[in-house]
Amino acid sequence: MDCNIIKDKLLDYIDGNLSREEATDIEDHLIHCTKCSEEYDELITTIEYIRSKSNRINTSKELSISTKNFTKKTARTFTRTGLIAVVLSLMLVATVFASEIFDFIKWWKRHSEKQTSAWEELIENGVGQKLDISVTDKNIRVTAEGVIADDLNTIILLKIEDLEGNVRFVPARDTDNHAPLTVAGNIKKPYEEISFPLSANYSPLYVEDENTVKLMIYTYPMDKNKGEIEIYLDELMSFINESEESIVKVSGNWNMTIPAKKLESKIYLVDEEIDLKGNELTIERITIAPTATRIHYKLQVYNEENRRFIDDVTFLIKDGRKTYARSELSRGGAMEYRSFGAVRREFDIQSLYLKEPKDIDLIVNTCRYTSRGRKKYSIDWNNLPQVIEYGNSKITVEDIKYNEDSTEIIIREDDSKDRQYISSNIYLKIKDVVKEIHDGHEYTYRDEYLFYGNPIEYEIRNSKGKVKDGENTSWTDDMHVFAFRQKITLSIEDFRRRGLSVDDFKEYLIPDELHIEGQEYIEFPNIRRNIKLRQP
Amino acid sequence: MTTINIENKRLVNRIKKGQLEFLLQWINQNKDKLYKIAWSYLYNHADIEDVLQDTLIKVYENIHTLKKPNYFETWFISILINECRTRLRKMKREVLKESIEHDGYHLDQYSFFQELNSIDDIYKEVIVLKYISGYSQEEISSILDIPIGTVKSRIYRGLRELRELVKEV
Repeated sequence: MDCNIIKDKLLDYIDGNLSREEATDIEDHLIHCTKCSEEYDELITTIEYIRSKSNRINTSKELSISTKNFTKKTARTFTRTGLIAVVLSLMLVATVFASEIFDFIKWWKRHSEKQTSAWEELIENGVGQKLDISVTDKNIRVTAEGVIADDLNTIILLKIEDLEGNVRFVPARDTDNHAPLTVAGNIKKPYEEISFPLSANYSPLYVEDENTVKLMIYTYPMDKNKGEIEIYLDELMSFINESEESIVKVSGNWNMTIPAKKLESKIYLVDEEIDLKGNELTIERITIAPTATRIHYKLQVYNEENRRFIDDVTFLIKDGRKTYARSELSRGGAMEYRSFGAVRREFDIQSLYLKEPKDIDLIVNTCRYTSRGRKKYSIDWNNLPQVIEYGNSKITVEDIKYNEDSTEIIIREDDSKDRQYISSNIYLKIKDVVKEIHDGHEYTYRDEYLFYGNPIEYEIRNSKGKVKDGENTSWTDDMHVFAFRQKITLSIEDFRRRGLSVDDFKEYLIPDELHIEGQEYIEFPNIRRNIKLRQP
Repeated sequence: MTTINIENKRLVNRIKKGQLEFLLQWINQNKDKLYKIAWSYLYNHADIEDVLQDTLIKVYENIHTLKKPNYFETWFISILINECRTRLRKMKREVLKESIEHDGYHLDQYSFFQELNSIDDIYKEVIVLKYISGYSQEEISSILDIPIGTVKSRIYRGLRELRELVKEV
């Protein structure tokens, strides 16, 4: 056999891919041909070399990758804002207790006025549809007052009236995966696999009458220009209560179907590049719809030069003397999260639909970012306080308190005058080994749970400095929590809620190493760009 | 349908539903080969972790584009390799060196890493997939989306180039 043919087949021979006869042919040839047999030996030696070297690659190091990272960033933002939930959004408020009522009502009124006037401005100008469709059950009347549907959102306004008493009712809290308020019909699913009905976000609006609440429902755009939306509501609860025990719940059937028309929006392609101190920001598209003006942008998340990850960018639009901020009539745009490369995101600003502008002044309002760098600290938990250094900051682990079902750790942030960061990402890690049986096979995998610190002593600041508490404070994008002290809580209740697998949680209450992974900063770039709006 | 087929189908469906713990479990089961592939590009642990994390996200985001569940593994590897390449392009050489110096005591491993990376990428890739992670020629052809004949010739060429280096050592 020809040496060239042999060479062609040597790899397959080594792999054992050849038929018996072919293999025998090769073997015969190798016995007689020194050149080919040398070639064969060298191939084998090289392969063996690669294999033996590669076996020494240490793959046993633990991989800290997790599915939780998908939600980690959003979850962090959530705790940060959840802390001042009452200031930020009513969507997060399920009930209000007597002790908070005074401040709450004032704030609620003001917040509701903003949303209501944004809604009314559109309806009065003939944008969207007025409706009057009612269902009454258990002496509670639910009326659909209107709908505004466009390419970005479908917003429905409901009125809930208690006909026999003086209770302000709202949809009950989600329990056991049962959402009391859901929607279906001609609504576009955010992704294929999700099934109807979809749970909807909503925000209760203040009405003077003590038996009435209005509900602004935010859901996905419609899947066609004209259609019907089904609203399912089967459980209500009292919104303002003396205590947890005095909450009134009523089950009933307030389902209804409403007609809706989707309004067309205007889409403008732009290509505006903005340099955020080394991170590239590109405005790609602007959609002007009734419910919002959507800025579609691309952002380079990580910058190696200054080792920072941008978490969040917010915008404003200036038109003459008027400033347009985040829209009250939108669910909010899509947010893509990654740890490097570029992400595409959307930011929704108050509507410019009625103005039909030819150009806009877009302002980069805030840029929130996290510095890179993970550090572990072995803490002598019996010997506190202990000062640890992270970059240029000195952080003090002040105190630890062991309770029956929980452990609390108090950490003081750097207290030097020239401190720049707003808070450190401090956490404890718990490694949980999970054994599961699927289809008769036992699988073992390791899961990591992070327990972040939450600010317990802090100041709310904006671009001008400390924000004074008062009835005129309403949340703006430049507000942030400047933390002085944080608390990490390890609690059995939390372990259970997050689904840790082990039965005996006690050992998890003793903390291990402390981790710091970056510090958060906020900047106010105040970059202004005039963008011409030309339709393609 | 074979068992592996059913399992792949289940895995893909679970990922589509967002039950990502099963994807994590799969990664852990295949950690050895996945890790070695990423290692051959990036060498250091932190970058390997990051790349696997990003691959996980990419896989989740793009799972709908995978038409045949049976190709899940090769599809995953092709994403992983792509992520490694992108990452490498973005990393500065100094950074790579800097992080390597910290691992000074792993000199032997590092010299192997250097040997592998001294041959052209197109040859390194097939060598890593074949002899380090143990994929067949057919699988490599599907991962890299190149004809099987090319796979074979690249393996051959790669082995010869490596052999020269090993000889020098």
